[in-house]
Amino acid sequence: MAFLEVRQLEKSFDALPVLRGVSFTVERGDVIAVIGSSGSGKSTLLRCLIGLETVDSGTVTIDGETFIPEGQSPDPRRRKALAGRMGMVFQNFNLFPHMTVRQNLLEPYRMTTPGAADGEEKCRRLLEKVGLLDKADVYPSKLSGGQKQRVAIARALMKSPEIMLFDEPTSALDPLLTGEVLSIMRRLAEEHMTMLVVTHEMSFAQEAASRVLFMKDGCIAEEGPPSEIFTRPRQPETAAFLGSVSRR
Amino acid sequence: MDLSYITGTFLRVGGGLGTTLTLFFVTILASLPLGFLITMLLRSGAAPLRWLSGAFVYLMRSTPLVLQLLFIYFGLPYLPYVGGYFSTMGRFTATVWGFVLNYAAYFAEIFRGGLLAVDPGQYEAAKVLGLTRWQTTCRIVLPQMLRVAMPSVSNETITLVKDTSLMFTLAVPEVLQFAKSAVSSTGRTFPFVVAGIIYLGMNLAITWLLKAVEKRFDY
Ligand SMILES: Nc1ncnc2c1ncn2[C@@H]1O[C@H](COP(=O)(O)OP(=O)(O)OP(=O)(O)O)[C@@H](O)[C@H]1O
Ligand SMILES: [Mg+2]
Repeated sequence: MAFLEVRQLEKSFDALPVLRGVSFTVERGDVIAVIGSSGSGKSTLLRCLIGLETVDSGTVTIDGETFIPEGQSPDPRRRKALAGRMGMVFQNFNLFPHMTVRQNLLEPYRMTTPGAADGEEKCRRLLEKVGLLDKADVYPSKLSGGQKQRVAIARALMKSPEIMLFDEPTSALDPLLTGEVLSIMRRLAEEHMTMLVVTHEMSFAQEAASRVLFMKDGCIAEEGPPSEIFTRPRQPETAAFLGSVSRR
Repeated sequence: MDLSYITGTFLRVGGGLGTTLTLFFVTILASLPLGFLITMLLRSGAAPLRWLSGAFVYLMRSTPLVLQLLFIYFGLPYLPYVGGYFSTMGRFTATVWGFVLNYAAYFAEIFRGGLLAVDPGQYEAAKVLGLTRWQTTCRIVLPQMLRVAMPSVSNETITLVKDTSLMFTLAVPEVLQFAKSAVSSTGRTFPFVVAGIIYLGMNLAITWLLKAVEKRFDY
């Protein structure tokens, strides 16, 4: 059985079907790049996985444990367990503006793991990892976009998640600042973090991903290793999409 | 006008200061949390709660505070069936009720505006980090809401200092009442000046205090 199994996920907003039977599996250490045009349901897929949206039907299983049983949204206890195993990084960082960088990492950790004594040490190690130890006592408003996103990654890593979800982590950034964020994600990939990355950075998908999912109209239209998807896509839609992004 | 007259007048008018300050502090301490509770009701998922709290806020903000005070003290005892419960209520107690309810409605509206300024992404970040709803409200949303609401809260607080003089309506002896009786009994204007100085002094202290609080939200 695969580490993460997603089966027949369906989700509509009012009458608009956004996910129409999405199924895929992820093994430990996989880096999955999710690509596809705007509105194809990439964000909705990630949001359903981590419980920010309720699904209409389908199941999600992590390590044999069912988190979303046949279309039901996870109950509070499952939600908490899910939050402990998955981390999410948003396009707009969503740092807590009233907390310093250190507090952004420590406070949620302390709230969700009361009694844990390793917070300070973990926080220091992660800030060092993302190269922001010197910004520990600064408020987010004083950081550049790239620095904010690195803090957001560190914050998501505090509870040692097994799966990291990234929703266009570099889309809100000045092109000059995407590199610093992508290189941290590459490092995570090298450390065998299981990752699902929605991205428009085709070079990242090509170099860092172990598999690419191409989404179209709420379905996975094609999936495979980047070497195949990028050089000889089987579906005409995939070829058309790749053609449109490479021309940009 | 000699020094002993001046200090005498300050002492005489200042005799109302205790009542004035009591009303001020009780109103602030009770109406801030009550106001936030009403904000929560305004945003509640249950339509009747939303409707009731909305009607309450509308009523309190759209009628004069003086009318509300008169209604509570002189009007309620004449209500059929329940009036008896109110007939023994003192003037000061009636004033406190009026002020707390009235200011809670204003604070509720201020907080509601502050909540709108909190980015929905904050709730999502809190959720994926595994925070409970209570933790999200108290630790993430409230501090950010207060930062936005603080200038308006300060404004209301300064208005409240001046509004305490509306106790006059129910003839509760406070600063203004003492000043007026001093003016009529001595035939001199000075007690009114003293009352003005007392209000100025209170607001000076409060403005300074509020500035210090606002600084704490500077991030
Ligand atoms: N909360 C919502 N309510 C209604 N419709 C929504 C909601 N969220 C998303 N949608 C719709 O669902 C569709 C898929 O949205 P989604 O955000 O998943 O696309 P996406 O692939 O992430 O696109 P993008 O590349 O622009 O981020 C879109 O048509 C969008 O308008
Ligand atoms: Mg999206």
